[in-house]
Amino acid sequence: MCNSNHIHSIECILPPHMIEAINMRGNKKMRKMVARLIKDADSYRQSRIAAAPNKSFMAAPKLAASARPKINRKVYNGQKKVKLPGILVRKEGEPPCKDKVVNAAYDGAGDVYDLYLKQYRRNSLDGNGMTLISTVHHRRNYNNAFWNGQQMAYGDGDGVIFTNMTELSIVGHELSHGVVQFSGGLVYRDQSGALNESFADVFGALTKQHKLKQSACDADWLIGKGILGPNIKGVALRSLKTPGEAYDDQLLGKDPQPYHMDYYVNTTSDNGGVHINSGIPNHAFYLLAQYLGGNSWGKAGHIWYDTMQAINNPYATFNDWADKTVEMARARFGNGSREVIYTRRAWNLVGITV
Amino acid sequence: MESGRNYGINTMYSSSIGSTFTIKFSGGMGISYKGSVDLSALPQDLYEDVQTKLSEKNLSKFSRENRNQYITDSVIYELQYKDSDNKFTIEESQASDDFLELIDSLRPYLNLELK
Repeated sequence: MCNSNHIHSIECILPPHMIEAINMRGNKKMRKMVARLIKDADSYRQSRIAAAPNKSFMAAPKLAASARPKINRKVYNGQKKVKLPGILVRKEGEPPCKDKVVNAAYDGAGDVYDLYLKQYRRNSLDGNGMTLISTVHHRRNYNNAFWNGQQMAYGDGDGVIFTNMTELSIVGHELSHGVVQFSGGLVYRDQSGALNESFADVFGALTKQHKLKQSACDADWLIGKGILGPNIKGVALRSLKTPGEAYDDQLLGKDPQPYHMDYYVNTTSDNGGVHINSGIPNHAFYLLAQYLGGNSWGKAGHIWYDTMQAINNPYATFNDWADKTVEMARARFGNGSREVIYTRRAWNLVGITV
Repeated sequence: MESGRNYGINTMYSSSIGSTFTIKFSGGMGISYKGSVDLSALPQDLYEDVQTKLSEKNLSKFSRENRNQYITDSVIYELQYKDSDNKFTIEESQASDDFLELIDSLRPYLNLELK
């Protein structure tokens, strides 16, 4: 199959002056080939434009200190079916119901909302009070949770690989994908996709730490602790503290996350390794949080959040992101501040020079 | 198979499904695993569903035209037939409800492979 990677490489190999020369001096067959390449390249560019986030979704407005916005949550029971959202079972202000999973999704969404509102003055995912919609019991034996651009969906797991998918760091992770989407977006492939994943992991971890009032050194820095099946050898899906060490199991293999650019994984699977190479920026954040001490949602969290609001580049690379974090640290804490020094140091330790 | 960025039907087909096929699950929240389904072990109705729906002429019906560009953590399914090079790769948001329901029905009959 001639996929878009292939087309892209052709586009890079043949610079405009060569195309011009072939058009002028080449035979009919060569000119036809060039015409086809240009057509393919146009098609590739169109696909990139189609994949880019909607430009209307830019950085969310910051709420005035005096504003008192209200959270709005809805939780649906998917009844193990494919269709979303399902049947509404709990909405804002209603008391807990008998179904613990419904309550976990409801409470978790509240914890995520609290983190973004109290620490970053952001009113929900879009900054405009968007209703937080969750569907639990999505599909049968479904080993996943996802954000689809409008709502969350949580499976119940198959009981072998996964169990409960409404663990708080997972809820924080998935809803933070929404924050990325409504902050200009990061295209979900290769390094920009890994940054999208990493932002979701970082703020998933911060949601849990914020809820438990944990400091950087007290936190476990795990994503999805306790959601793996009872016989799976592992503690969680990912670890920001020790990427690559979350699990090592006969069915799942070993956690493939690198912690350093020396071990960056070049792959086309997993949308270009978005869940793999996210280990690198994840670990950079962890190091920064350790250097700065205290609560990670404070200084370190603000640097990362400010970066998301300012990056305005859906195809950002790790270097683009790292540069912007230093810029944001400088803007918030001053040139030469310890926050700037430690931000640089954290990136250097994962192999990214800024 | 690493199918690159163009998820959807990107495969060759054969005329019969055979006795066994494998399903690889990747993407999602970052965990990948694989299992095989022995068709002879399926209940009759599910066996007939698989024979019909996963046949060459019907595979194309599983794909929707547009991928949801905002979806994150969606699962990528890869079906491979035994003794064949045939593969069918599809991303969750591009798959029809029929396909996803069939995959869910097969999960209890999936023999997970060790890595």
